[in-house]
Amino acid sequence: MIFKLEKIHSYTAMVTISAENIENKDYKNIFWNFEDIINNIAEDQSIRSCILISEIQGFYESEVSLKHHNFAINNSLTGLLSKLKIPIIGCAYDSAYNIGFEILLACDIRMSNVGSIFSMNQIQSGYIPFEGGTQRLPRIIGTGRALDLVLTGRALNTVEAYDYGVIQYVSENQLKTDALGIADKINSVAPIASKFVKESILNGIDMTLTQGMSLEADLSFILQSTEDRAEGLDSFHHKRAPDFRGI
Amino acid sequence: MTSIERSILYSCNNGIARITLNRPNHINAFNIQMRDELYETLRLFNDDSLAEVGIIEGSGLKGFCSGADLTEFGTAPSQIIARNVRWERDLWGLFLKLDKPIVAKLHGYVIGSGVEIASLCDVRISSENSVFKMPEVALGLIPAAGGTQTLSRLIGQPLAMDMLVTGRLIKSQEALKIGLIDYCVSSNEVENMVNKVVNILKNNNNVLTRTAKHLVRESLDLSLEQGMRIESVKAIAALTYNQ
Repeated sequence: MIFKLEKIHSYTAMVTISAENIENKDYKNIFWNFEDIINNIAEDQSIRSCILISEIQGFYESEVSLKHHNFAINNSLTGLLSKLKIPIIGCAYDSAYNIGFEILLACDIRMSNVGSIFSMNQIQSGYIPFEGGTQRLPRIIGTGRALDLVLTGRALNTVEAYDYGVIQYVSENQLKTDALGIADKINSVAPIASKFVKESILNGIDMTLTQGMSLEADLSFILQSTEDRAEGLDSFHHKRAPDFRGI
Repeated sequence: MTSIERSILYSCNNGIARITLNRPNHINAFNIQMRDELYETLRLFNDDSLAEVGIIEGSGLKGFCSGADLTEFGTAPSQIIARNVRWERDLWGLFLKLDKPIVAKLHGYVIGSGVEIASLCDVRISSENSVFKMPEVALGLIPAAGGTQTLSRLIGQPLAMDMLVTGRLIKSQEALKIGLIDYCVSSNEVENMVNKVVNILKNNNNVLTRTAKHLVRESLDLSLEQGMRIESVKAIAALTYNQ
C-alpha cells in the first residue's frame, strides 16, 4: 500500500491510497509517506482543494495500522489530514471499513460509488477505533446512530450512508470525474473564504453557539482585508466572473 | 412631508406579532437600514407585553430574502469600525436571546442572510417553491450572521460544509428532508400552516414554552450532565409555578 500525490489543473491535489505495492505493510513508512504528501500540499499555496481517493477495498488496510498500533495511535493519519485547511473530498471506490471508514470521516465532503458499504466493527476484532471514529461519527450522524454502528458493527449500504450523512454524493461509477466536478466548484470560489468557512464550521461546533458566532464574525472581519473580497464584490456589480487569486 | 418607507414592518394582533422584511422590489435584500430597523423591531417585539409569539416573513411574491445587499458592502471605514458596529448592535445575538418563540415563514428565494435569519428562528415553515443557497464563498465572503454556526447545528456538519463550501442550491423538498425547514406546504397553504403552528405556540403556557425553548437552545452548549442539572431545576420551578 502506498499514498500517491498528483496535482490536477494546478488547483487540486489528488491523493490516492494505491493498491500498488500492496505487500508493503510497514505502517511507519506509510505514515511518513503520507506526512510528506500532506506537508507538500499544506505548503503549496496554489492548491485550493484536495481529493483523497482510495483504490483499496475498504478504503484502507486496517491490519497495517494494527501491526504497529502503539506508533499508529500516537501518529495518526487523520491527525495529519486535519493539518490541511483547504476542503478535502473523500472518495470511496467500493466501501470503507474500520480504520478506512475513520479516515473517510476525517474528510470534509464524502462520496462513494453506488453499491458501497460502510462499517466500523473494530469491537468484534477486540479493539476500538483510534483514528477518531468514536469522536467524528457521533458529530456527523448523531449519538444514537453512532452507538448502534460502533457497538454492533452493523454495515450501512449506500442509501443508508447517504441518509445518515456519512456521504453527501453517490457516484454512478465515475468517482474521479464526479470528485473533480466538486473540486472545480471549490476551486472557483475565493480560496481564503473557503478555508475560513471550514475553520469556522469545524472549530465552531466544539464551542458554545455564542463563541462560534464570535469566531465567525472575526474571521469575516479579517476577510475584509483580502483582495479577493473586493474582487468578488466588483465582479458581482459588473456581472462578470470573478478571478480569485487567494490574496 | 416626505415619508421614508420602512424596510421592516411590525404589527401585533391577538398576541401574534408579525415582522415583515419590506423591500419587495429587491427581494428583501438585507441592507444597513434593514439591519438597524430589525434590531429595533426585535427589541420592540421582546418588550411588547401583548406579543406572545412572533412571525418573520418577507413581503412580495419573489421570496423571503435574497441575501445581503451587496451594493453597501465595503462602505465601512475600517475593519475595526465594522467590528465595533457589529457588537454595538448585536442583532444576531438578540435573536438568540429572545424569550418568545419566533416562526420563520419562507417562500421563493431564501438566500444567504435569508437562510441565516431563518436558522435563528425556532420553527421554519416554507412553501414548496422555495430555494435555499449560501453563495458567500463564491463572492469572496463568508457568512457573518451565524450561518457557519447555526447551519451545522441545524442540518449537521457534513451538509453544512457542503452547502457553504460548494454553494449548492437546495429546494424545499430536500430542505425538509435534511431539517433545514420543519414544514413544507403548497404556496397557498403556507399562511394557514403558519397560523396553525403559531396558535399552538400561543395557546401553550408561556412560561413553559420559554423554559423549554431555552433548555433546548442551551443543551448543545453544555455537557449532558450540566444540561440535566439545569433541566431538573427548571422542571421543578415549572411544576411549582403550575401549582
